[in-house]
Amino acid sequence: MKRIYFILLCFAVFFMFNGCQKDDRPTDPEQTAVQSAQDITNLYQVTSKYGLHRFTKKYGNLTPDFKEIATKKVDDQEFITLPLRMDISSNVTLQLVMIKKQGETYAQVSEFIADPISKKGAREVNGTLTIYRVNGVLYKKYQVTDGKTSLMTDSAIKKAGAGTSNSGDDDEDADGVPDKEDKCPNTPADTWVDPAGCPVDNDLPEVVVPNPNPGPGTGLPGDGGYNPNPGPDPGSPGDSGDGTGGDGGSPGGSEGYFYIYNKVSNPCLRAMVAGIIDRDINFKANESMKSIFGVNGKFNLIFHDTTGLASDVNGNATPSKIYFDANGNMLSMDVDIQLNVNNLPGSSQEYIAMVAVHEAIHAYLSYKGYAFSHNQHDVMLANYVELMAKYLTDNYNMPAADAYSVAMGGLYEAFQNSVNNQTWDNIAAKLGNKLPSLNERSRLLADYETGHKGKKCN
Amino acid sequence: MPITRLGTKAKNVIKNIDMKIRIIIAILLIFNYCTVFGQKNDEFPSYEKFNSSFAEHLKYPAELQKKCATTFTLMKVTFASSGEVEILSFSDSAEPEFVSLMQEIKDKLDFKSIYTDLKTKQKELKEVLIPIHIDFEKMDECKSTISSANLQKVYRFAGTPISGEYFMYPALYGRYVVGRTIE
Repeated sequence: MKRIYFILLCFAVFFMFNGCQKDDRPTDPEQTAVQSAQDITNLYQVTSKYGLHRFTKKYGNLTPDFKEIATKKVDDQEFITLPLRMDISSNVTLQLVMIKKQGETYAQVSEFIADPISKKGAREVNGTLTIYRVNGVLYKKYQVTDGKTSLMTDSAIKKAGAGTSNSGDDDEDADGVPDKEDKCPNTPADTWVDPAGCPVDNDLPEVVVPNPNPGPGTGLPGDGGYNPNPGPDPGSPGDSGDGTGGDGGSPGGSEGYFYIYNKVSNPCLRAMVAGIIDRDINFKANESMKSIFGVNGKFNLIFHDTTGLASDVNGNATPSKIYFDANGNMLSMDVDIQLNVNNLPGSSQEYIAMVAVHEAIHAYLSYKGYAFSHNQHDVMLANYVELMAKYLTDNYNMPAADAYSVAMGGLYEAFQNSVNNQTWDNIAAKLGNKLPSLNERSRLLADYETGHKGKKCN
Repeated sequence: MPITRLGTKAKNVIKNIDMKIRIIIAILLIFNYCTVFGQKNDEFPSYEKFNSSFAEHLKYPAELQKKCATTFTLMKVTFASSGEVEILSFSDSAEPEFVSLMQEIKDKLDFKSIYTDLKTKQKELKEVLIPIHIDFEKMDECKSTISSANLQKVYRFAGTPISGEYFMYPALYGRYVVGRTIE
C-alpha cells in the first residue's frame, strides 16, 4: 500500500513538471515561420524610429525586403533576418537580426562591407562584419577572411581604420560613426554614443520587442474572439441596397459603432464606394476587407468624402483609433478614409476605384502593424501594385498596361531616396512588359484622373 | 552539496511523512501547479470579456484628444439584485467628457460578466470598483501624462474620499493611439 502511495506521489510530481504546462509554442513549422516574420517586422517598425535612423543617415532610406525574411536554427538558437539594404555598388549588406534563445529575444543590426575582389578568381568573400545594437551603437566588429570570422580588438579596429584610404568612412575611435560626422572623436572603447558620435547614458529609448501577437490579438476577427455571433453581416451592402456597410453594433443607427461604413454623401462617389465594399478587396489569401473590417465592431473602416483635402490629394487614410491592451495586443482599430469630393467626381471610375483601394490597403497595412511605419508606400509599391492592377482589370476590364499605370499612381515617392534606384529597377524587372514606360504611365494616369479615359463617374 | 546526498535526505524525509499527508500534498501540488500555469484570468474569468467590450465601444472623446489627456479614474458600479447596473459613477479624476461617454455606452458594455465574477467571489457585495487607466497618444504630436492634480482626486467621489466595502475588480488599461494620416 505504501508503495502505491509513493507511486502516486511520484506521479503527482511528474505531473507538476510536465502535466499541466501550457505550451504556447507553435509546432507547425509554417506557423513558426509566419510568427517569426511577424516578430521581426514588428521589431523593424519599432527600431526604424530609433536605432535604424543612423543607418538611414549613412545609406539613405532603408529598403527592407519583407519577402526575404529568413529563419535559421542553429542548436538552440533561432536566427531571423530581415534584409534592410543590399547595395551592390558599395558592397554593403545590412540586415536586422533577431535571435531567440531559451525564451529570450535579442536583436541586432549586422553590416557587412565586402572588400573589393583583389585576387582573380577568388571565391571566398572577404570584408568587415560589424554588429550594432538595435539602438544603433557599435557592439562588435569582425574581420571576415576566406569565409572565417575573427573578432577585431579595439586596436585592430583602429589600425584597420587608420589603414584605409580617405574614403570618408574612417572611424578612428571605432564608435560606429564615421570621422567626418563624428562630433566627439576619440571616444573611449565600449562607450555608448548618439548618432553624432558623442557619449550618452545607457538610457537610450528602450527598444522593446512587441508581443508576437502583432495585430488584433485575441480579438482577431474571425477567430471567435469574444463576439462569435456578431449578428447579421453588416458588410453586406446588397441587403440595404445602398451599398453601405451598416452601423454594426448600433442597431439604433447612432454613429460611432460601425464595421465598414459608407458615409460618403456625393452620389457618384457613394455608389463607387458601395460597389467596392460589395465586391470586397482580397489583400491576401483569407484576408479581405470584409473579413477584417466587416466582422464586428472592433475593427472598423469608415469612408467619408470631404472638401478639406489639398487639391493635389485625392484621398487619405487615418487610423483614428488604435487600442492596445497592457500587453501591447491590439484590441480594436478604426480607420477613416477620406476622398476628395472636389476632384474625384470628375475622374474616371477606374481612377476612383484605385484611390479607394489604395486607401483601403493603407487601412490593411495599419491593421497588420504598419501604423507606426513611415514607409507604407514602400511596402505598397513592393507588394501591392499587382493586387491593385488585378482589381482594376477584373472589375473594370482595364488593359493591363493601363491598370498598372493607374495602380502606381500615388506611389512615385516610394523609395524616393533609393541611392541607385535598385529597388525601382527590381520592381520594373518583376512587372516586366506589363509596365509601360514612365512617360506612358504618367500619360495614362493623367487620362484616367481627368476622366478622359475610362468610364465617367458622373 | 552532491546531488545524490540531497536525494537520499529527501527520500528519508518522505519516508517519515504519514501516507495520508503524502496524498494530500500530492493533490495540493497538482492543484496548485495547475492553478499557477492556468489561464491568466482564472481568478476573474469574465475580465477579458468586459475588457473586450470596453475596447470595442470606447471612442475617446474629441475634447480629451485635443487636450491629450490621460484618463486615470475609479469606476464605481452598483448592481441591482437582478444583476443590472443601477448606478455608474466615477471618481473626481475622470474628465466630464469621459463620464458622459461612459454613461452613453454603458448599455453596450458587458457588465453582466463582472456581475458573474462578483457572484462567484463575494455574493454579498453589490458595489464594484474598477480602476481605469487610458494613455492617449497622437502619433508625432503628443503623448498623455497623468497630472498630479488628477492623481489626488482618484479616490475622491464628489469631493469625499471613498470609504466602505467594495469589490475591487482588476484594472482596465488601454493605450489609445491616433495614427498619422497617410495619403
